[in-house]
Amino acid sequence: MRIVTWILHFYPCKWRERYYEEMLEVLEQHTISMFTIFDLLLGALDARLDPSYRSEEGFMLSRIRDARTLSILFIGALAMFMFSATFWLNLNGGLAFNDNPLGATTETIAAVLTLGIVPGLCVVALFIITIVTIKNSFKNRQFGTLCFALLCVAVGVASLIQRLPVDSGPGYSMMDLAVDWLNISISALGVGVVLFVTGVKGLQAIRERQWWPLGLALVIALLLPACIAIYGFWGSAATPGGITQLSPGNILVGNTVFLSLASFVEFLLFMMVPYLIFGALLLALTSQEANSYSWRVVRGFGAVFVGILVANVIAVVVWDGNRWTHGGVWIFDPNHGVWPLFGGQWFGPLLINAFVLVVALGLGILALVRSFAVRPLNKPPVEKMAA
Amino acid sequence: MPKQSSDLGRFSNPATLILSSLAGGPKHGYAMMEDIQQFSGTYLEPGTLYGAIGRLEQRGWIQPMESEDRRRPYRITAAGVAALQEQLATMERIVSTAQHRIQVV
Repeated sequence: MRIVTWILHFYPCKWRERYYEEMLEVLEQHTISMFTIFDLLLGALDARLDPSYRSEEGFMLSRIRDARTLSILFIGALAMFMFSATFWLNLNGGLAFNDNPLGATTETIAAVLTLGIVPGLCVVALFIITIVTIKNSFKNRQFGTLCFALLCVAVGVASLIQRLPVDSGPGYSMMDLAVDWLNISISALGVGVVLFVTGVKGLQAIRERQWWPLGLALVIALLLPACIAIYGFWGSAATPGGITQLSPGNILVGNTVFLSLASFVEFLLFMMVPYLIFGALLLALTSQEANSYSWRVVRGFGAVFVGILVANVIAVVVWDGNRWTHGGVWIFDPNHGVWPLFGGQWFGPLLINAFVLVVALGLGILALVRSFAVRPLNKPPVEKMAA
Repeated sequence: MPKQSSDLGRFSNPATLILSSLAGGPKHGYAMMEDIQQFSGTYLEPGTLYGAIGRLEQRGWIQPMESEDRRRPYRITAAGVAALQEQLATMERIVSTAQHRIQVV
């Protein structure tokens, strides 16, 4: 029965709005055979080809016209963009796992991190969702949730214990001290909030059996460790003696982060924060707390991110044009590519970057446009049953 | 050749079966499948059934009725009766012609 329910999702949206419930009822009474599955697939194809079931926006757009779905896809595409950018940079020698949580040294990625992710998602959306969740927990006397919130804050503080006490040497002003403490406090709170939202919403998703957002959130959260693992294995080389060793350029060689478990855990926790934020927001968007305010935040974030990238592309084209006229270096130069997304010697990640960027930009723009549109359901005309 | 039903494609035969079934009174999807199997020996699969129902509804030959549960019954309309009559007349012509030719052979 599950497979036929799944197949029904191949039918056009308009068809499902009209016949989904009826069809389910029939299928529940029907003996499902291979022929039934084949017949349903053929029916889905036929309905797809029927112009009367085609929505105004077309096939692809009708699938993602829902603001929530679109926002979730946008978050997923954005995380993929970050991942592919990180991967690209590491393959091309721009190795900076220690410098930047995204593993990037470029201003493009740093700008996205600074302006897009932290204020847009962590500070606003997740904090709002956390506050609403805690408020509801007080109201419903869910003490387990409150204890979990405290535990998350404790973990956040513990994760920063290595940075304490703040190193105040000569010439260290009160302002520097205040900024350092503020930075540490916000970071600790941020880690706590992300862990809290991930835990609470993850559990909620498991209870409500929302497997696909849960799976997507998990994949996003594990992107960076996967990236490190892939890069670690990628950089290994077999010696003449037949023993596989890490090549000199591998990030795992001589990297102090990997020398002790504590430093590695701290590294991983902080490196994973942007991805955890993506995962947490994804889970939060599928929950009840994702009210209209959250949508506005996501829209605003989308606007900021899309704006940054568009400005970046324009700036790069102008800058690159200038450099090309003066020094003969241009945007697709494999050795001196100006913009990190379009240079380098590894063309596989380059193509992935270009593709993911287009998808992320497209979804971002669509999320902004479509989230303002309200479309009524297509209800069929009905007649009273004769007595 | 009935002009109205010529554009029903692979659903032309199921469409006739559904119209014939609904000519006996309003029925929901599963009841139609059972009824059609009883009077014609053809067991329509749900994908084919709802493909044909959709097309018939678009042409105004059948109409959905109000229902309190998920089982929505359908009734045949006057236009549907006319289309069915036209199709049956064609089928009758085919049957009589075929029978006549068989006798000759």
